Amino acid sequence: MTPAAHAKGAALLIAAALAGSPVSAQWDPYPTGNVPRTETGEVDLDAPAPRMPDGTPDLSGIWQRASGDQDAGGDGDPPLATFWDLGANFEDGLPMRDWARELRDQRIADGMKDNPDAHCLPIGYMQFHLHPQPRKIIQTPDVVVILYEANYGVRQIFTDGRPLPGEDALPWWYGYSVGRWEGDTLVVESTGFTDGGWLDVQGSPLTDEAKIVERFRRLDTGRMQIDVTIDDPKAYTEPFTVRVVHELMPDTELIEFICLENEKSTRHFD
Amino acid sequence: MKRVLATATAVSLVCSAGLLPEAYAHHAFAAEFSRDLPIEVTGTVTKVEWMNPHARFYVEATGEDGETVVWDFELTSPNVLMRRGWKRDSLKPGDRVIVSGWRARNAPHVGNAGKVMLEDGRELFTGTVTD
Repeated sequence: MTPAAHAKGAALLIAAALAGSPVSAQWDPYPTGNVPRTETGEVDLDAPAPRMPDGTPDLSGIWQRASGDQDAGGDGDPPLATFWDLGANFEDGLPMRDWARELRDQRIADGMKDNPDAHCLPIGYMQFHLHPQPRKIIQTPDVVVILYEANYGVRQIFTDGRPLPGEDALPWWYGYSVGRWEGDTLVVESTGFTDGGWLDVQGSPLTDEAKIVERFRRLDTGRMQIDVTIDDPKAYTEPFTVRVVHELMPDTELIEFICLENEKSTRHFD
Repeated sequence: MKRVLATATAVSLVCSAGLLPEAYAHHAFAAEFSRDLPIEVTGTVTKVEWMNPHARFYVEATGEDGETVVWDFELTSPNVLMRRGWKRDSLKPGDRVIVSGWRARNAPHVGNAGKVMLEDGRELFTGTVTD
């Protein structure tokens, strides 16, 4: 089964499961715009990706991490990343320097309690890309905005031609991102990260020397592929690339998540 | 009640088919709880906090020495529970429940609820991921 077909099947099953519940959703489903539909009104997940008026693919929509049977990729394709471990599908794990591996191992031994997410702090691009909670992409000609339900994160990717800031720029949790179109691929370069980041739940490090390049490709209406290259010479011996696959979640919306509303877990951490 | 039961069953089926995302909400299970400390608590719900980053409910139960204790049970976040078919009053004060889960490592009456059984037989699946 293709990922799109799987997403379609999952959506139908979930809809069927929830059909008997009068108040199981935040609000009644409202149809997603700018997506092709079949004669019966369902989103045609296998149809070509929608496009913006200027002809570029339109990445807009609510997306969730693809479910288990996503494309594993062919020979030469980047290994699939997991939320817990970016290097899960690398034969020898990520190419960490010794200090980085020791730090990652200590973070695991500590029950991953210092993951910024556990303290309601921003969790970085890769945890956001792989988080089980959905994200919403809003695309305009000059900027692509991504709203993350997880931790209510927000990110801007400037596509108006501006350069990355110079080395004197203040480091940010989300760094600074600029994007350009190469054919149907949105290529995003990011720098300027705060030090001490967590690439995954297990705590693979990300430092202030990192440069991240993401290549977003909407394969069809229902699927998005993001190949991410992380070049962080302080923590890794060489750049590496991982793949993330997302599936469209049509006819739904993000749900509010205010992390500090009632945070009571951290007081029980060791 | 029949309608609620049917919904709970359907949601359980969807969850068991692996079609819903994991219930990770905010922190790793291991940061707070231990798989080596399984618990089962029978008691009465006294309060429900349908809030982020974790929904919580409190259960008054009888402790090992016969004293009254109040357990603080953590669930995943409301957004995840809603997508699994829960609603904010799926659990209510006064409900008699049997809660299976895991205890916090350093707090005697704090737990992660893995499964909640109500007196009427309804079973609420929480989707807890124990890392």
